Amino acid sequence: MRTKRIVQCLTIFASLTTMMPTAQAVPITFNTALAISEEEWLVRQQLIIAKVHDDPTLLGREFDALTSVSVAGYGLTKDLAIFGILPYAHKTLKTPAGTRSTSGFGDAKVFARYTLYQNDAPGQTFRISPFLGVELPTGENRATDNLGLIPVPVQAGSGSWDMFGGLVMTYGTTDWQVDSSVSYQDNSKADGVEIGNVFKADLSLQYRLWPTELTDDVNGFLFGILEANFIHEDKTEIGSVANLDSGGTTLFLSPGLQYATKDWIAEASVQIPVYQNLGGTRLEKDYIARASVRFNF
Amino acid sequence: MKKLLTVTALVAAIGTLSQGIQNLVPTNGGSLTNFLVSPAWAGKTQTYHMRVDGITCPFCVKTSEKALRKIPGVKRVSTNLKKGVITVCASPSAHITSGKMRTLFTKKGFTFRSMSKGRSC
Repeated sequence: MRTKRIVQCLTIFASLTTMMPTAQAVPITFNTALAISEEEWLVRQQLIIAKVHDDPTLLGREFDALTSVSVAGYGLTKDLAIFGILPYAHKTLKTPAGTRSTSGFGDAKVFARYTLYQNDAPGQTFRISPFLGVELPTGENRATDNLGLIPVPVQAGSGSWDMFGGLVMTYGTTDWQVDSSVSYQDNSKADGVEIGNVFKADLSLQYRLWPTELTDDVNGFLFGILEANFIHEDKTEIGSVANLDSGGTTLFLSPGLQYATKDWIAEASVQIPVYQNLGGTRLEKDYIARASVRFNF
Repeated sequence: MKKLLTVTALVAAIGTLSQGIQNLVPTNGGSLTNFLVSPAWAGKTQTYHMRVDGITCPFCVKTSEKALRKIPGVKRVSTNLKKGVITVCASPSAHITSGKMRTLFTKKGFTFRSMSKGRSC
């Protein structure tokens, strides 16, 4: 029965990979302003490995997360696209008291992105697109184990409806592209817990490494990518009291590679924290590794 | 002397007529021979060069070419990414017009600038 299901999944995946065309150079760790054409779909499957082992205390705590993120986007009009994001995560926190872990779907996100400004030239484009969405409380936020209620960072979801929005800009040429984004997520309270609001500022530079010269019969482009991600999180409040071991500021530098063909994209990057100023005894990140594939159809 | 003047006038008239016909040839160039076998006369396939701005990536190329190939009568499509020029070979039944192309590329998220007709293909 299980084998049959795996075969079915593989068959569906194979069908999708053969029927879907196209992809482009885009940021790995955040969105782009480049449009999804009207009545076209984009799907992305991403695997994220987070290692958070740097404990400022002597407790030797370690946090690991393995997350699969499924993304689908659809072009409603030439300017308006809608997106859905669904994560599935396995999180583990090792503490002197024992190991706490959860597995399951996290909070899904749905949002819309609108191309507000577009200026095209031969082989060039500049676009500005605001986006607005909501994070839905689809993930479990009150999971327990034999030690009691599992800590907030290990829970799969937040339990709250959280609005977010921002602005993304893209300037692209046939040789290179730069994307930048600012966004803000306003988290609300659920079951007495309000996770801190999040501000993000991202920058991505993509440069075509191969082929070095454009020809008419090029089937794939290899891009070198360097991204910077600034993240500021407010402190989490539990019962209206700020948790001092939460929130803080992190700056990542994220080198990556992306291979873009007319039919698909494969990409990988590593987010390396170059600056962390986190609240109290909060664990510091070692790295976040990402690999993903995307298809347009 | 009268015969010489008649021959000279005849040659001048032929020259004028030839120039007039040449002026009828489409502005994108081509010889008189090409003009006489062009789709306008022969109903054959014709090349269209379209300048489309905003195309920067393999994806943009694919989505544009795919949309063009869906038009009945379109035989071949190729793209010069660097120049932002898409070349289409199509039969008259495709009814390739600037208005139709502007609508198509706008839906794809790109900016259609202009189109010129080339030789038969």
